[in-house]
Amino acid sequence: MPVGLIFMRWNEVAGNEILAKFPEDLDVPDRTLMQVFHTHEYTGETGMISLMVGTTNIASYYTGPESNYCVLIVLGLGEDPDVYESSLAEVAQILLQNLDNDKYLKLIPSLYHHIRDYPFFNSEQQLIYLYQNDVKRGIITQLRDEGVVTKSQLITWLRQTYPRGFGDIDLTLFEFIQKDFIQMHSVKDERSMVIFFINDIVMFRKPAFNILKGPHGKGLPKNFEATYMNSSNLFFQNYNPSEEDNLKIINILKNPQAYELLNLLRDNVIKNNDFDRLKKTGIPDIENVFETLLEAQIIMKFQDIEGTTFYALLTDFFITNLTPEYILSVLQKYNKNRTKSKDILSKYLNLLEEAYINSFP
Amino acid sequence: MAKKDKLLKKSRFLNSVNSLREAIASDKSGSEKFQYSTREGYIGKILEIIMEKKEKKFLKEDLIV
Repeated sequence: MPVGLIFMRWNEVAGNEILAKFPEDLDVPDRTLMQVFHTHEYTGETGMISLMVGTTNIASYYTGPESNYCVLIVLGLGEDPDVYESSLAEVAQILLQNLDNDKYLKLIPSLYHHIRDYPFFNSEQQLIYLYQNDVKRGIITQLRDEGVVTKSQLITWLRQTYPRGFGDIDLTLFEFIQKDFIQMHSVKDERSMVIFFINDIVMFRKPAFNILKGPHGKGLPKNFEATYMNSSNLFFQNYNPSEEDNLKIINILKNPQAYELLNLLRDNVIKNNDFDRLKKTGIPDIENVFETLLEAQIIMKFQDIEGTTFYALLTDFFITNLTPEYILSVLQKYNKNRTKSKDILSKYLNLLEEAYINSFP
Repeated sequence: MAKKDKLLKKSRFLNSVNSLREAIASDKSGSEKFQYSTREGYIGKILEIIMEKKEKKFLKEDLIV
């Protein structure tokens, strides 16, 4: 697990300039930091390096010679730095976008915690975290409409849509390939690599079925059962999934404490008497997290005459990746209007078919 | 026939892929109305299945018609 994080830049006059670090008392010798910068300079490229300096295990992401910033984490001995690459790149992008008025300073602790926690995220959390990223979500939204684009078309669109920067596109595309959202291939007569969208992220609220099948058995007093079940029915009678609502939930659940609480609530009703225990086991900010879940109608609360408060899951969250079956209509339009070549369309159909068949065990 | 092959033979999506492939290869525009013409319709179907299945896990096989 990372011991700490340093955000620094190279200054021609002063050399290394540490802009922020977490924890504050993290101590990395100046000559080690210089060695990091010089190693980045040697490659001259945006991207991550990892190095051992004595017994100090370091992973560092360089934003490139134009901006000259570095986000560095100090790892435990024997830790694999590669697992931190995508989160380091993402954090670097966030920091660059928040340089004005030193806004980045108050983000440093949460960014460190994100880098620390991300490698241990399960697949559901990874999807949540990917989708909360503006640029990655924007690319997926674009691909939902287009299905297939060239890399150069995508970069042109990114430059227009994100004039303040969009991070390392090659790293993003690599992540998308690894997670099976896309494939990239060269196609005859296309000068740029072609990106094919083969898996979409689908998400929406769903009833807390596990609690609904027997709320009393999950810890809810019998006298609250009917109200709980009626509330759930009423919610879903009027529910229509929307991107706005999904994003609201995503932005809550990207917080590992909120996600952990959701997981607990999927199996049990929680009482306020449990708070102290839960604070010690990974949810130190439990009161605030509960408030956020209440406001978003993810949970509801009940209070008995003795003053005990019960929190029950009102809406669970479903998120998964699935073949974008609707994309056939887009391809049909391309074929009808002759706006994409037969080679591209045939290739896309083959890739969709293969991805679809392989998605079944 | 393997269980997976049986399952996939029923897949309307794979049949649609084949129809579109044939239309492209024979220079036809193709007039088939696909099962899902919009993403909203697709998501609506998945939500419908999940509401029917209740606590049972949603599987990709559930979308095969």
